[in-house]
Amino acid sequence: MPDGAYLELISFTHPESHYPPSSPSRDARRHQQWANKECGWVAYAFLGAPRATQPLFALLNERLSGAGSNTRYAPEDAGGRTRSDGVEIQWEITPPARWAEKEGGTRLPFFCGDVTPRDLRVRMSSASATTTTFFGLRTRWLAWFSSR
Amino acid sequence: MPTRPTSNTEHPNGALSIAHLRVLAPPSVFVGVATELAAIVGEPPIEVSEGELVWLLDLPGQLTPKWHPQLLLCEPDVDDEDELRFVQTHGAGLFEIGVRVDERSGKRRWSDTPFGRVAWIPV
Repeated sequence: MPDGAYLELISFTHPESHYPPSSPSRDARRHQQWANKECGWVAYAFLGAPRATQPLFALLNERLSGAGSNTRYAPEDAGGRTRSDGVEIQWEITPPARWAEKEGGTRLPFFCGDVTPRDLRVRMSSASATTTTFFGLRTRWLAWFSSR
Repeated sequence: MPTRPTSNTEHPNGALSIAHLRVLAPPSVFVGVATELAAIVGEPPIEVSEGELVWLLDLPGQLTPKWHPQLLLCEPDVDDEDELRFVQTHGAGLFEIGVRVDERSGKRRWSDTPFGRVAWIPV
């Protein structure tokens, strides 16, 4: 979108049954982080802070503990990919500790912060601003959005 | 997601940006989720009405933004079957995303799907 927010449409290439029984590929498909989620909104995110002196997950857990909550965030998880032009981009995800559970994945935000310059991943025009939010959702939304 | 070419950011449906995220929470866990979100965001919410709280989110790069994306935490509307079904099935979770749209798009209110809701906010 013009302000840099974006919706991420996620769809598996094949159902689990496509992969040979007991194969590594089937196991990977079964345990992929979105595999146990219902179709629809599966996550939303705020901008992370990968270079913070105090890791973000520690700050969040400190606040949550102080508020009397047992909810916790997991340590930062590194991610990245190589763009089609060969440029490597890296980021860090700070997820709720129970993010992988079937239900409750959208109850709390996760955080995503750029380790490499954000402009490499989200190239903004000068008239636009970055935003704190991006979102993840699953397959059938793709068809729905496409039909509009 | 690169914002260039402009076809990445200029949409036929008039979408301009995210207006809000609307998280629903059953009354039984509403206070607990509010406490968690307040700790995570780092600020207490603004109470819009009973059972409806809002946090005004920042836009990095804009010191005085003209508007703030909103994080809404609401109890389900007892007259809305979709909202009631959602919390019965999912518990607390993201039910609706609000999208700011060009008022010339003609979009109003919201669009429901079997998987979630998008609210259209004309600007």
